[in-house]
Order: sequence, then C-alpha cells, then structure tokens
Amino acid sequence: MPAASSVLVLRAASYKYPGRDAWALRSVDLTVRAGSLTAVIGPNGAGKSTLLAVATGAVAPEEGAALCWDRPATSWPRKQLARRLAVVGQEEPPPGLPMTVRSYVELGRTPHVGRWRSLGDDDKRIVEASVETASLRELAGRPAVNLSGGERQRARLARALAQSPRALALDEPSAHLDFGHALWVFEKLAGLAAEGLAVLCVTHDLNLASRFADSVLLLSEGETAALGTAAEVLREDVLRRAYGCAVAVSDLGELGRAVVAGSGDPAAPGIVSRAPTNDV
Amino acid sequence: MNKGVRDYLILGVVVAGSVAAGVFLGSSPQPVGDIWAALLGRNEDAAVRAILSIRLQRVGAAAVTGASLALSGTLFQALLRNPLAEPFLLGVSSGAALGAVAGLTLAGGAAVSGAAAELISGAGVPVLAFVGAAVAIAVVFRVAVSVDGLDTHTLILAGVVVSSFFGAGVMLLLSLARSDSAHAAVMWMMGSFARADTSGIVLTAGCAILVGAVALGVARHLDALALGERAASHLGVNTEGIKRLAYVAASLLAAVSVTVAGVVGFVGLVVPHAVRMVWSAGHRTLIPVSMMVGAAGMVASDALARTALRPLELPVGVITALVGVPFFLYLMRRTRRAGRI
Repeated sequence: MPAASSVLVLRAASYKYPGRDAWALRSVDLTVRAGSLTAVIGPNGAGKSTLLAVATGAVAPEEGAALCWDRPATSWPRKQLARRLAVVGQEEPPPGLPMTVRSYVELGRTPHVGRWRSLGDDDKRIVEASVETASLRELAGRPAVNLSGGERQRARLARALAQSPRALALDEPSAHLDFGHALWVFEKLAGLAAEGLAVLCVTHDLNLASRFADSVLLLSEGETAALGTAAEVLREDVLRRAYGCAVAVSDLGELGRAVVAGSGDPAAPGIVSRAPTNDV
Repeated sequence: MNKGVRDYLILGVVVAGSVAAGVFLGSSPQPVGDIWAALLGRNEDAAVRAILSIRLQRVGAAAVTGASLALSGTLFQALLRNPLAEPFLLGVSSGAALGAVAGLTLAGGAAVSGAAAELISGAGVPVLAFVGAAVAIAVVFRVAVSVDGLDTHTLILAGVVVSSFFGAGVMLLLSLARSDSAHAAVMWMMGSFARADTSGIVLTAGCAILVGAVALGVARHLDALALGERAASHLGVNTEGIKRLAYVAASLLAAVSVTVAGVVGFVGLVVPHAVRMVWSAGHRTLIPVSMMVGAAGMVASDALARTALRPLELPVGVITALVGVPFFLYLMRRTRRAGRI
C-alpha cells in the first residue's frame, strides 16, 4: 500500500494513564487513510478516547508508535500539526468568555495566522465556507454560549474545518444529538472523506458507523476486538462478546446495519433477527 | 464611516476628555484659562505652575494605574476563563497591603525611629508593598504548579487562601498599631494618587507597555484559551506557556501599579468586562481598548474624587465603585436584552 495515503497510523500502540496499573490501550494497530472514514466503536471505558488522544499526539504511546504523516505524532510542532489535523474533543465546555459563533469558528484559523497579523481575505473566505458547510449561516452572529446541542456540534465541526485540515479526528460527534442531527453529522463526515480528508471518528452510534464508515475498529478493554469493514465487525457474535449483552443485527442494504441490544444477559439469545449476517 | 474607526474616534475623545478633566479640575478652584496658559508655558505664576505640575503628575499616575489594572484584569479573565476574575483575586492586593501596612505601622511605632522611620514611610512603603505582592504571587504560583503544569482551579483556591492569610496579617498589624499609623495604613489601602512619584509612574508605564505588547503578540492564543486547554492545544497553542505568562505578567503588573496608588478596586474587573460587552471582540481589540478605557476611567474618577466634595478629597476607590457599579449594571441589562452576553 502506498505510504502517502496513510495519514494517522497506530503500530502496536499501548498507553497507560499515570498512576494506573491497567493498560487503557493495549497493542492496537490502525491505519487511517486519506479519503476514508474510520469509526472506532466499543463499550464505555474500552479505550476509544485514549486511542484518539494517542493517535492525535495529545499523549505519547508508552509502547509502540503513533504516526501522523509518517512522523511520530508527539514530535510534531503543535502549530504545524494543527495546520493539518483538526481534533474535536468530547464534551468540550462552552467558551469561557463571550464570543459570537463566527468568532468561535474563526479560532480555527489560529494555527494559520501570524502572531501580529489579523485574518486575511483568504482566512475570512475559509471561515465563511466552514460556516456554510456546517449550516451555521443564520447563527453566525449569535453568542456561542447559548447554542443547542446540535448547533454546538455544528459549530465545533465548522471550527475544525476552518483549520483547513487534511485529517479530522472527532470524539463522539453525534453525542446528545437526535437521529436526524446525528445523520447530518455522519453525512458531512462521509462527504469530507469523499473530498479526500482522512476522518477518524469515535462513536457509540453503530448504525451510522455501519452505514458511513469505510472501516470500523471495535475496542474492548483497550484491545482490538475486531477491525475491518462494517460487515466484518458488526456481527452478533463479535458485538456480544465486546459489549457483554445479546445483540441483534439486521442488514438494511444501503442503509447499513441496524444493531439492536437484546437482553442484558450475554448468554441469552438476541431478539429475533430478521436477516442473520454471521455468514459474511 | 467604518464602525471600527468610529469606535476608536469615540474612545480617543473620551480619553482626551478625561485627561482634560484631570488637568483642569481640582481641589483648588483655579480658572481654566490660567491652567491652560501654564500648560502652554505662558503663565509665570509659580502657584499655578505648581498646581499644574501636581495635576499632571496625578493624571499620569491615574492613567498608568487604570491601564495597568485593566490589562491585568483582561489577562486574568482569559487565564481563568472567567469574566469575573480580577487582578486582586489571587492575593496580590493582600500581599501588597501586608508589606505596606508593615512599613507604615513599624515606621509609626516604636520599632524604628528617626531617619529609619522617615525612610520607611517614604520610599520604603512602595518597595515593601511590591515585596509583599511578589511573595504572594510566588507562593500561589508554587502551590498551583505541578508536574502536570499550572492548574487554574488550584490557582484560584491557593490565591484565595493566601489572600486570607495575608489579610489576617494586615488585621493583626492594624490591631497592634498606634491609631495614627493605623489610619495611615487604612488610607493607603483605600488607594490614592496623591503619593505617586514620577519614578513609580514611569516604571508602571514601562511595565504596562511591555506587558501590553507581549499580550498583543499572544492575543489569538488568549482567545483560543477560552475554548479550554485541550481544545486550545489542538489549535497549536502552547497552553502551559500562555498560562504561566499570563499569570506572572498580570500579577506583576498589578503589583507594580499597587506601589503607585495602593489598592484601587473594581477597575480591573469592570473595564475588560464592559469593553467585552460593548465590543464583543477578541483580545487583539480587547487589550488596547481596555487599557485606554481603564486609563480614561481612572483619570476621570480621580478628577471626580478631587472635586466632588471640594476641598475634601475622596479615596478614588470610592468613586470607581460608586460610579462604576451603576454603569456596569446598566451595561449588563442592556446587553442581556440585546442577547449579546
């Protein structure tokens, strides 16, 4: 495979939080390519956010390697990395000081604008395009503190896009969103991947992951439980082992897969599955 | 006219107006014409010239103190991600007060006498105030910094606790002091520009310009800090460096300004906050505008403090609060209605 298309790479990456004995991430391999959407799924505490932190250089892996564009993620000068890689964290607090949605999005230009310069015409054009992409035009003049959950996610996505990134890493971008808004987020991410971005997305939404992700990594207790296409990973037996509950999976064709949790008892059979897909 | 240009013009007029008020108004009802002539060097009357020189000195002291406190407050608010932060939140004022009160009560008490007392109550008080503030700044910083970096929550906690500790020291000294030196100490703590000397004014002005320039250089990073440290660092900001820079620069600037005028409250809290409400802008605008508004507000307050109950002079801190609070409440109501806060 051509190395040029590998944007974010984990090689047997392991990470342990300071003062803890257990590995939060254990020997995980992952390659996120340009032009593809990779979803990371798994139960709470499986190490998804840790993986994102390691892959984006927020922390260095204790063992193994995390590479961004073939270079160790933590060795990048912060500003240079921020020009290529945008990260949208989980549960980011609303801005601590008053600002409009447009100023909020403009902060995405921070790594591109010189210390003593103001935003140039190009910067403003990129900000407006990001506002447009995230459907924020009519909200641009509003205070960024009082946005609804869906509006806030859109504003954060717009801020990330204003970085003009070549890779995008997001932690649960559809958290707290109704399914219409969640669909909107994933459609945008898939669209951005189709335009050539490398997109790495941690999510709990297995249905949308199955529909839009080019590859899916299932984590369980910090380790890789499955890695492959949605059809390979989103299988009843695999999910049952990882999530510890019975699971029913239906193949809905172009709409992806419908994953429904059955009984909390992993030994119990899943609810009736109309289209068993274990034979993929 | 471009809105930005218009706003700066209005601001320029406000600054000029307050400086004029500071120069032409005072406790002695000197005709404006006489002062103006002296200003142009056409009045040889020694008394008028003396009055002019005193007033210019006070205007200078008020302007640099107001600008410094407003800038310091701006930086504290960015650092703590809280528009209610202010320069004296974290112990600078109580540290300075302990130093100054120690000097004033020792000089007035039996501990030292003669020439030593003169020295302490004169040039010594500003130096002791600065030393007290510097000790408070260092202790708070040392407590809040760890291997994980400077923690802003610990910073607030440490600041409040250290502030209480130094405050208790001030009360102890006051309770043991003779009544005349206790009065001098209380007057110092209320803040006044009457004691300001030229070297202190020049020093503070230099510090304010230096810190202002450095802050402008990292203005966009201060904006990004409002998103939280994790998000800011993903935008390429060296958050640890910015936090330390903001804390040390803002604290030292507040400490230096305290040596000129004592503790003048409210300006450092209200000015950056009010400017944010009216301008709703990033730090590239906020920093210079806050400094100008802080200078103008302080000069005007001092002019009012000198003339409101002429010939009696009020502590300038009384004016900044009595006039500033209603104005601030008005702004707050107005911007809430407009949905901009």
